[in-house]
Amino acid sequence: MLVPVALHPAVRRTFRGLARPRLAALGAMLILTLAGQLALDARSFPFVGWHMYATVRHGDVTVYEYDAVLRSGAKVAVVPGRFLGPESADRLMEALRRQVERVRALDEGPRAGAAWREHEQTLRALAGRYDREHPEDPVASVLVSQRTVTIRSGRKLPRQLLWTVELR
Amino acid sequence: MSRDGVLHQDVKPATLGVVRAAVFLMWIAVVVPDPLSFLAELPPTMNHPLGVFGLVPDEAWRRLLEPGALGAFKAVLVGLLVLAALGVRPYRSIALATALLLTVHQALLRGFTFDNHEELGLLVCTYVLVLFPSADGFAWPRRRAPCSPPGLYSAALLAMATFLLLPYAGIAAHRLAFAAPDVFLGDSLPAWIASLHSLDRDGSGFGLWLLGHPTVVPALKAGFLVTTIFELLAPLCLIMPRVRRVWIAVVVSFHVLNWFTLNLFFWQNALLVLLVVTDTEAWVSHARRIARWILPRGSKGLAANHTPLTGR
Repeated sequence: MLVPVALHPAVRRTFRGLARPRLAALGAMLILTLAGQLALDARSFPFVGWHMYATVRHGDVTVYEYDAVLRSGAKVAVVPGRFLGPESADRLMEALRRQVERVRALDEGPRAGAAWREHEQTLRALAGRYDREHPEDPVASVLVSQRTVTIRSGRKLPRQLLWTVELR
Repeated sequence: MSRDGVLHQDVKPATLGVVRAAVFLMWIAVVVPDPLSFLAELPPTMNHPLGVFGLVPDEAWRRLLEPGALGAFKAVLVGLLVLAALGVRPYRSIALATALLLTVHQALLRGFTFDNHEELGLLVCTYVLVLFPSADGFAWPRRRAPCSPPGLYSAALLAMATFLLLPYAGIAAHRLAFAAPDVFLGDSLPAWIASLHSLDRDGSGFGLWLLGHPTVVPALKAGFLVTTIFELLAPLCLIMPRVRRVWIAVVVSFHVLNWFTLNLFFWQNALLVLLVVTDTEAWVSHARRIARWILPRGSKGLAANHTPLTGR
């Protein structure tokens, strides 16, 4: 796909007229783009590898949900998109998912303790954002649950509580 | 108008100026609603600096990751973004400082979470705007006449389009090389729809609804294959107008559909496609004619910034 573009006379004419420093800068960006895609990945940030939707998946999926129990006893969903920009909220949800899986995988030992503390502090930070907007009824604890979603029907099976993070 | 069907062959300074303003306005829409000081509330152990940012000493991160420092960082960044959107002089220095801070900003957000792609196309287009005289037109204060060769403006937009389109081809090539045909035929797409709905519990739930209609799922899988083929063809948009028109329709629809089915909306990429993979010169000229008709004569606003086309 790149060859016909690179060889096209009008494309070459457009870039040939550029001064050397500008051309060198664009050339460096191009090399980094290709290197990021082919080998370096995040090491050449922000020229990173783009590999989305290229992992074969099988079967039903497990998702994690976070619910806050308020001091009044009421329960509300913890949704980062209500406190953060949409891009940051997406990234935080993925970071939380990785934390949950790390905590579950490590199970015991000092690294498990560190992973748990990190997870707990992250949920505490999120709860803090909720409390700023609802000081009259702050978060007392956060419930972390898992759910299976069946890919044949899109049906969500009932929640299974994994653990509770007490914030009082 | 394009010679030989190649994109952006006769771009005016004002057109590049409109793109500059749009790109920096998009950044304002990304940066302003996101509370950067939230990073100071997260555990510092979450911060895994990316790329060259790994060379920054821990002490420097500690100082930056204070709520006051992050607040000041964001205030300076937003101020620079406004100046860059307006094209205020000295444009090159302002744009360079803005691009550097944006790079730190994006690296910080990803260092704490994970390295995804949502704003990276926009960031690379910003780098191109730093390299070229993007404030010769549609800028405040008004420039009397551009002093750059006319071909520079075309090269700038062509470079932006190239850097935007290349990753699409890279994604498709990787997917076809490493995951085809299983990724198109098996459970992968339904599994992504099922798992990504959890990204946003306020989301539409449309993806899960679709999974509940098994007759629709094969159509989605076919659409996934078609989109991948179009992604692979992305670079051809630069030189083939017919491919370009269909490509834009397919890829913008794909981004919008992802919003509802996967709870992921790469709105920056969708807007950039409409901004720089189309005949930007033609629609900016139309918009300026409309603006001239609407705005009173002698208006000194940005829309009335009729930069002469002949350089001195």
